[in-house]
Amino acid sequence: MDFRQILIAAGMIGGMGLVFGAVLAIVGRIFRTEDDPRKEQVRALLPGANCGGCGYPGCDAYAEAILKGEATVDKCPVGGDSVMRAIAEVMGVTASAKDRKVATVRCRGSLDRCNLRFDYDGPKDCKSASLAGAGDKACEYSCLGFGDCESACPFDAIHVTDGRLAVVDDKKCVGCGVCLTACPRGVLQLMTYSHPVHSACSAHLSGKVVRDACKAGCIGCGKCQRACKFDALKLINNLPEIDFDKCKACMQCVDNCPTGAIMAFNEMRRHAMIHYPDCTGCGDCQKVCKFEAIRGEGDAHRSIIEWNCVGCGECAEVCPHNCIEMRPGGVFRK
Amino acid sequence: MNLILIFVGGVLVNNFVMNRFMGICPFLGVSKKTETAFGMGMAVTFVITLASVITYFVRQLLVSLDIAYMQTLAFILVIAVLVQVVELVLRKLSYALYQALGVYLPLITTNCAVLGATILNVDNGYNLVQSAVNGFGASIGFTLAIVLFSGIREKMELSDLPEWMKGFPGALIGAGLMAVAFSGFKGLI
Repeated sequence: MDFRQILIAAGMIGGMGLVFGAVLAIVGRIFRTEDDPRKEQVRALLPGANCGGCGYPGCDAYAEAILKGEATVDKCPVGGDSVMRAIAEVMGVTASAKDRKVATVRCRGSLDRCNLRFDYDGPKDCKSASLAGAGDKACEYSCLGFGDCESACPFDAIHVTDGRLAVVDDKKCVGCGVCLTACPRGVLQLMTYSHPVHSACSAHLSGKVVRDACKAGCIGCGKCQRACKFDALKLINNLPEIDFDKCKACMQCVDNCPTGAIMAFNEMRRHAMIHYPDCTGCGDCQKVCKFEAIRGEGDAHRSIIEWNCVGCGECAEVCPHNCIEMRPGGVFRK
Repeated sequence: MNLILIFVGGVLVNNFVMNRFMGICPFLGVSKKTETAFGMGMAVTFVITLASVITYFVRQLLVSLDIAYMQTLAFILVIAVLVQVVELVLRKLSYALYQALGVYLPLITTNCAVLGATILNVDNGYNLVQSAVNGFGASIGFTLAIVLFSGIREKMELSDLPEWMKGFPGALIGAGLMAVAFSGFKGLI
């Protein structure tokens, strides 16, 4: 074996590499194309979580889609409003405010409420459990509570309690929707954070079946529908469907639910307060109040009967003198 | 006369895709639309023809230095550079085609049709002109196959195939039938 031969071979291939590299450099110079500089900017603004919540395979792909005009700037659930506005500025478009979405567990069936049908001994994940006779929890719509969502969540915003029920930390949740696809039961849903009430049960079964399985399930009694004075809630397939355009956040559906299958966003509870100096005693508020929560006669000042006021805000809307103020906090009945 | 034989042999008789089973990856990957298939064919034509010419000189150089055994490595180097050049040029001149070819464009680098053509030139002992004609013929053969095949696939998209035949199963059977048809050219030269 001649040592020189190796040197020649190495030198030859190396030399070729050098020559070709030089050729490439020259061609690259001649045919230079420039990337849109905005792409870098948009990409830098995105959080880089690559969660896919926007519907694109990662932040890079989303940035590209924005540049092509295929995607609107408001898709990133992680960055939220601030990122959306920053991108809109780069792209020279106007962005409109978007409702914040959070994942919500539509089930309250922890182990102390929901019965078990059998001892499940298989792999401890929801997908396996849901295949074994539709899960061991007595309700086939229930959260199985093995934490497929917990391990899928890129933001540590969802945890399973001891009672085998997933609970979303709505401060951390960005609404990317990864947990929704991880859940084999579909009990996770994206809900608008600012909605005053939401249904917390997914069981479409009839009242007796639900009752036998779970203490906290919706039994389809219809009390919520009757309690809703604004026609915003309908019982469809044994579950309440809420029309949020009509909902006034009076929380009557929640307060009248015998099983707690509708949950209230309690920070949105309000009550009315009348500022006496401005009140002329016109009585418009009294006429419109559906809860008999305003008293007073003739030209006298009207006053609020606080234990009747649910905070629907109808009176404040009709008051011609703007003397009714809706204040946060309400009277809790349950 | 010899050159015409080499050319026809490359295009029809010893078609790279249909007869030698080289370059199957882009053949199946980029044959969904006739337009991109043609673009791919042109890119491959450019690379193979130029590679045939350049590797001829490289081969001479290697032989003169008595290191002919390095030819595979050296050829791949040549091909890689050519593909890079094609990529740069395409990106500048036709961004749409660049996008449509996508990952298959850099994959020409490892496309055995290209390396196959250059090594066959060596094995057959072709001179410079013969090498160029053989490379050109082979790549025209590739283009012919991929364009015909993409036409078939476009038709198949519209036809009423059973669910399990849609997509690649049907395409592969179509490719097989095309290979049968091409074997009819056997004995032409």
